[in-house]
Parts: sequence; C-alpha cells; structure tokens
Amino acid sequence: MRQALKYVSMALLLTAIFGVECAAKKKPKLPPDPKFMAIQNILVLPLVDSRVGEKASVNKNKLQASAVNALKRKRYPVTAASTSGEMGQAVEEDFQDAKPEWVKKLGPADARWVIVVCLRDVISKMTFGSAGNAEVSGYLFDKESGELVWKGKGVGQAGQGGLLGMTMKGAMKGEALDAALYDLFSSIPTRPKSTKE
Amino acid sequence: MVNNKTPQRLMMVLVLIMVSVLALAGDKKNNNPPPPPVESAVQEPAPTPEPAQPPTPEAKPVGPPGPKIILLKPTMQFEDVRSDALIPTYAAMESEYENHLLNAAKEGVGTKLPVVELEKLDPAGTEACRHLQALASRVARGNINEEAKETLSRLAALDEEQLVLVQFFRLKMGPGRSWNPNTGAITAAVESTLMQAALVSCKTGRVIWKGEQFLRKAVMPTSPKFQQSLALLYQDFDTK
Repeated sequence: MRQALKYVSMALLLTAIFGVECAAKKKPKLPPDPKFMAIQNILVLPLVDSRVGEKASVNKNKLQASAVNALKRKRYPVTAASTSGEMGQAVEEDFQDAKPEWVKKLGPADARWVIVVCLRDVISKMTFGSAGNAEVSGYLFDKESGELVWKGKGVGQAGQGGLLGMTMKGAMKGEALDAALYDLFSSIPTRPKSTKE
Repeated sequence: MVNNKTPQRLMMVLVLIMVSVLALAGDKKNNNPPPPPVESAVQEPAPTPEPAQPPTPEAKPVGPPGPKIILLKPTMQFEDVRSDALIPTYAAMESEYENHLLNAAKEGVGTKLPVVELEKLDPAGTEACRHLQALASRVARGNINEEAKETLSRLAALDEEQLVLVQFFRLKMGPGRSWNPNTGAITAAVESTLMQAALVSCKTGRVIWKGEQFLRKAVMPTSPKFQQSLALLYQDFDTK
C-alpha cells in the first residue's frame, strides 16, 4: 500500500511537470507582417529637426547612427544616407500628409524603403537633481508604391535626483534621446531570425 | 495500530492532486483562441481637399478699401505625445482656448488694420480660408508651401490687399513626473503649450510678421500664464 501510494504520487508529479504545459499564459506568436518581411534594405535619412522654441544643441549624426543601430537590432538591413534627396528642406507636416509623388523624391533614386526620424523636442533641466525629456517621431515609406508603411512616436525620460544628479545634467539629454528612439522603434516588428542574412 | 505516517502521505497526495489540477487549468487557458493581430500603424492617405470653386464674377472685396486682415479661426491640437489620441480634459475646453486666442488676436491686430471676420466673406473666400486653416500648423510658423501659395492667390483674386492672420495652438501631454525612492531616479513631466501666429500677404505669399510663444507646461484657459503669453505673442505685431 505504501509503495503503491509512493508510485502514484510520483506519477502524478511527473505528469504535472512534463505532461501539461506551464500554467503561465503564453503569448501566441503572430505571423510576421508581410510588408515588413519584404523589406530588403532600409535607408535612414538625415534627421529632421522639427523643434520649436529654443533649440538645444544635438548631434544629429549620432542620432542617425542610433536609429541605424536600433533597426539593426530588429534584424533589418539598414544603411545611413548622407543626403535627403530631392525633397529638400522638409518639415514634419510633409511626412504626415505625404503624397506618393513626393514620397518618390525621398532619398537617393535607387533606394526603395526610406525611414526618416523627426526630432520634436529635447530638453534637460536642473531641479534637485537633473532630468531630460525627448520626443521623436518616425515615418517609413515605400518609394515604389509611394505609401507610408509605418509611423510611430517615441518619448524618452531620464533623470537622477540629488546632488549627484545635478552633476549629470549634460548626460540627461543623450539618455532621454536614446530612450525616445528605443520607444519609437519598439512598435516596428522584429524580424524572425531565419530572415537575417 | 494506527500508522502515524498516514496523514502525511494523504497530505502529499492531496498536494499532488492540486498541482495537477492547476496545471490542467492552465492548459485550458492556453487553448483559448489567440487575440486578433494588431494592425500596423499605417496611416490612411489624408483626404485631398476638394478644389475650391473659382471666385464668382459677383465676388467683391469685403470691408473698407485698403489693406485689411482676415482673421482665421485658430487651428487647435490637443495631442498625446505617445499616440494620435486627443487629451479629453483639455480638448473639452477647446472653445475657451479659441475665444481667448481670437480676442487676443483682435486686440493685437485690430489697432493696426481693419479686421475682416470670416463670416463676412463670400463662399469662395470662406472655402479658401478653410483650406488655409488645414495648413495652419506650417503657415503659422512661416512655412508657406505651394499648396498654401495657391490658396492665398485665390484669396488675392477676391481682394489683392487682403492679409491673412493664421493662428495655431497645440497642447501636448505625455508621461508625468516621477521619483523612484529606491534608485533616486526622477523624471520631469512631458507637457507643453505652443501658440503661433503669422500674418501673410495673399498677393505675394510673403510672411509679413510671425510670432510664437512656447511654454513647457500645459496651461488652462484661465491661467494667468496663458493670458500673459497671449499678450506677449502680439507684443511686436507689425504690418510692414
């Protein structure tokens, strides 16, 4: 009797562990969006500064590089462009209401997928400590069809209180911008590993 | 003789049964259908505005002769920085903000030149003004694109001496301020209020004057700071 009870309990335990899935709810995997899977190379255009008011100095090349790295982490082939193409001096409203004929002028003629990041705001300030905020927006276009494939917004906040935080004011802008870019690109689907070349 | 270990064994069996039941319950949850896929944030193409009707032959300049200013209704935006959603609490006060902006504009510009109300324009002029209002976010900061130039020329066809005052108001709200007592990390609130206005010549499309006030705070319509900013916005208004 004792042995039977022992074997039954062992069997039940093993069944519970191996025979049944974990009780934690698993997120069902969604099929990847074909529009994003079809992307062969994304060209990141130079940053567009759409800030108002007093503009703090920002290293736009560094931001462009950060955008490139963020997309690489999502397993997209990415390159940075040094020119915006025929579009000239664009403002954010141009990307929001972009017409297909205008989209085809973005970036170099041989590029198909182009992404542009607009810097909407960045600030750092000192309180009892220091804090930084940043806002960015992004637009991904398919020049072949002239359509907007993706758009997004990102907000970043950084800060540290106390006397130590007050000495870090200079770094808060950069941290906030990094956080904003991370937030921006979080809505772009990550490609599965099998498509990485 | 009673076996002292029997209750312990029974407890062990009960625990095992409970674990199995919980595991089975979790399996049932996982068999639910997956949620519908999230749609990509793809923007539908913005509807192209209908071309305005050409001015009727009967269209006559409105108001006294000489330069005059058409005061457009301010374009208002109440924006959540994380999405395209409106901010309900502030959007509900849109008419209050609008009234304050219009009153400030009338006080600021009315002393220089006569003001033409939108309601007094003929249908062609009203249509052109409506189109220009849709472009307010760029025109109010002095960015006149081809579409705006075309609209302005339609207004100039009605009266060459007309000037247009375009106003744009945007209030943004985002994550609030915070403090983490464990790490000492702090964050500042993401909020701002922007007021822009520009006086543009209908005939030439030239920006005669522009003004801007930017506050790093979401202000209420009755806030003294808002009133002060409105006064500062038109402080250096000029028609030359």
